[in-house]
Amino acid sequence: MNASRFAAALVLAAGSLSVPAMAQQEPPPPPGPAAQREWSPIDQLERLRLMPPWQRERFLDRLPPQRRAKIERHLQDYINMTDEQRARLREQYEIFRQLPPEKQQVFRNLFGRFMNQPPQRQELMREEFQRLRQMSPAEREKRLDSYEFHYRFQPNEREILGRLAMLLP
Amino acid sequence: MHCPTTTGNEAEVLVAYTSGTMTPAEQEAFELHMAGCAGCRQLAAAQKTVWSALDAWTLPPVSDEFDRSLHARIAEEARLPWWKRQWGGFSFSWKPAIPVAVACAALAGAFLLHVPAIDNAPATLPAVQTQKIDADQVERALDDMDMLNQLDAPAPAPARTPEGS
Repeated sequence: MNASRFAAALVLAAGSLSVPAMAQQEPPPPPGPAAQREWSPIDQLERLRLMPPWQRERFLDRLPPQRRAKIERHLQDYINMTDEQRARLREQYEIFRQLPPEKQQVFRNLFGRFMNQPPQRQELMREEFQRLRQMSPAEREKRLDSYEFHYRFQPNEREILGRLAMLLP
Repeated sequence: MHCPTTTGNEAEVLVAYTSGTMTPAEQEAFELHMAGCAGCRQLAAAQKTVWSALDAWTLPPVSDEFDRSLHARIAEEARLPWWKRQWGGFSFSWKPAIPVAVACAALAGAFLLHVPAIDNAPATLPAVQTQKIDADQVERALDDMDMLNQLDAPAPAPARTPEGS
């Protein structure tokens, strides 16, 4: 009888110990109005990246197959980046997000035109775009008016580069 | 009388018959039944063999030493302080420890099942959090980031010209 009482007490003790342990695993309750705030797209993306694969799968399972495949592919690229690459990309994206929605759309349209250029031209334009982004506004303007810039790029390419560089300093 | 092996009470009937606890009328009815039932005859014979063996078994006498050591132990217990006497009632044995171990294992199992596996996550994200993720926003962000990544990608190394050309 004593032994069974001891066993019961031990089970109860183990149970009472495990309950707070379980509670510790639960995320803290929402601290208040801040928790009600919507997550930014980058927050959502980071949460998707950090969540266990089974949970990510559950999110992806809700999507139609074609859309799921596209999101999954891009998400995997994002996950596969190094921490440094991700940090740099997030920084770029935050700058882009600061643009008004209509300017963001103009940028996307210009990018669509950039993607329609032949691959060799795209390489040249990409290099030039990165160079322009390193410059101060005055230097950039000077470069866009330069003979070399006019010599290297077609009018269509110059327009794309000039507008992209102006939109995303 | 119905055959006890068909009514399911053969154990009771056989034990009662062998131990002689049946009423004379019951005993007479069962003996009458056994005369025509070979199964019950065999069972009754086997039961009688067991009882005979038990009757023949004599217990070895308890030694005087046992009584002495028992009394000495009782006296020793009586000399102990009250708190030790209370504790003395408990003696550890592996037998009750087994169900305790099983119960603890069950609790541990339930605990592990309750908490999902953590895969590089800094903190467990509750399932409900996936509901807060907007697929449209995520898709747009991924598209935009892919666009920015393509513009920011370092240019691939230029193709080497063959030597001597």
